[in-house]
Amino acid sequence: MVSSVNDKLARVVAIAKTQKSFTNIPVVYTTYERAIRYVPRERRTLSYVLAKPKDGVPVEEVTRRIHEQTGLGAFTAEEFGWKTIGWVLKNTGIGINFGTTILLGFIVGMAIAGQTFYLFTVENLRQFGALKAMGTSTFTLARMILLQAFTVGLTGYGVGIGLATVFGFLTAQSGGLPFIETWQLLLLVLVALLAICTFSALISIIKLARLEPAIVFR
Amino acid sequence: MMDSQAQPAAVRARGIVKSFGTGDTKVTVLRGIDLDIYLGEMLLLVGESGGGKTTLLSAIAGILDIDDGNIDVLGVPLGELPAGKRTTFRGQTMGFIYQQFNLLPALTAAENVAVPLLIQKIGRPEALRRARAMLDRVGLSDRAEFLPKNLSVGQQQRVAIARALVNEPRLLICDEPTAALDGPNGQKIMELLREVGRSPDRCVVVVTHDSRIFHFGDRLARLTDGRIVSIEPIAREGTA
Ligand SMILES: Nc1ncnc2c1ncn2[C@@H]1O[C@H](COP(=O)(O)OP(=O)(O)OP(=O)(O)O)[C@@H](O)[C@H]1O
Ligand SMILES: [Mg+2]
Repeated sequence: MVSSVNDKLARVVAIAKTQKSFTNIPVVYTTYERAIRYVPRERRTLSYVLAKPKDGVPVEEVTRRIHEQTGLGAFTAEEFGWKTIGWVLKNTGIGINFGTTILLGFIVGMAIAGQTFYLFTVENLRQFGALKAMGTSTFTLARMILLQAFTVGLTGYGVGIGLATVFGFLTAQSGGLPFIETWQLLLLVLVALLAICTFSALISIIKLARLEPAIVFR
Repeated sequence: MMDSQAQPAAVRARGIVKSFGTGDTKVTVLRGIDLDIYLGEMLLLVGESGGGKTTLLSAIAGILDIDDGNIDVLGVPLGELPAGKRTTFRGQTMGFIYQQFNLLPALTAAENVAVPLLIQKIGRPEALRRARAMLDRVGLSDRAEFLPKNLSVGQQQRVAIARALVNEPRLLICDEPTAALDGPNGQKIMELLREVGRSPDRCVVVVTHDSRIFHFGDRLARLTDGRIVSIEPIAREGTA
């Protein structure tokens, strides 16, 4: 099959099945000599060289030596992967797009969780009033609210993370998008979730602290 | 004169003033209430609707701040207790019975009755044991594991009575305990309150405007225009 790349004819010998990515830049595999003929002249035509260490030589050792001898940056596959992720997040719209989505999710989640929880408290104000009349301290009521908030929150965390992980692995397996889930990410989500729970509980606690138990007689 | 009135009052209220709102909308509900309630008696507090009976009960229970006056309960001046101490004191010395029962819907009858004990940090097995014993006394031993929604209103109020008494409170405060019940059920509840609730070392205050239950009380106090206008002993067959 003959195709053209930038108006220059090229013979296609094979089509590679690669992983999908969020950016849709076509990739052509060819020799360096041919590649610089296909693309218009640019200041730099080579962005990286992929090297494989000889058997038995640790990768870190090789990258260190390359860096020492050439003064260029040399990375392991793992390091390079993260460098790329960092670059994409910083230099493309993806970082902002996804960041905004997450931030919105966080704010909306906080508002909805807080409101739902507050509604629950208001609906049960009489019961809380009755408990208060029977001698329950505000401190105990606060602990009850916090326990409820965290039980609901942590259950939701388990379900949410579980579903996300299953979904991620399934899409990754079916040749879809790449999927990574690090413990740092899980921890960050947990902290965010606990923040939401605490915030939600707090509005209810303030309401209960101000509650006049006299409402039980109404 | 009853013997109990020779001892100092368990509840001693003097010059209680309470108003709601400010400016044009200000209403003075209590205009200087003096009232003594004695151990061993059941005092009925009656008066027209909106007259301030509930307000007075709330003040005596220490769940409503008053504008002026003093209330001593068992010799303790409520106004001088900080809020936290007042809450604890209330939990230890008072029991409440409401028109609307106010049972916790998710808890069984026995668990509901155990709540005041659990608040006093009594262990769950012991609390439940005492709760069942109390349910037995109000005639509901076979309903201990029922949820409130599966009980009749009369039974629910009996659970509420058991809950109010499980703590052996010195002061039992009842606001319209029969208002949500029909005539016969109301009579039964008052009989039960008199039989189980009334005791030599407890005083019972019942707010009501149901004249059909007046005869259950020992004394009747009338609240009109924010003042107690009369307190009279109630003639009872066989006891007077
Ligand atoms: N929290 C409050 N805020 C404003 N006004 C109140 C409040 N509580 C009671 N009041 C007013 O105080 C007055 C007395 O109310 P209270 O509930 O004590 O009457 P009551 O004698 O118990 O009446 P009822 O027999 O109908 O129960 C009423 O006019 C009521 O509107
Ligand atoms: Mg009332």
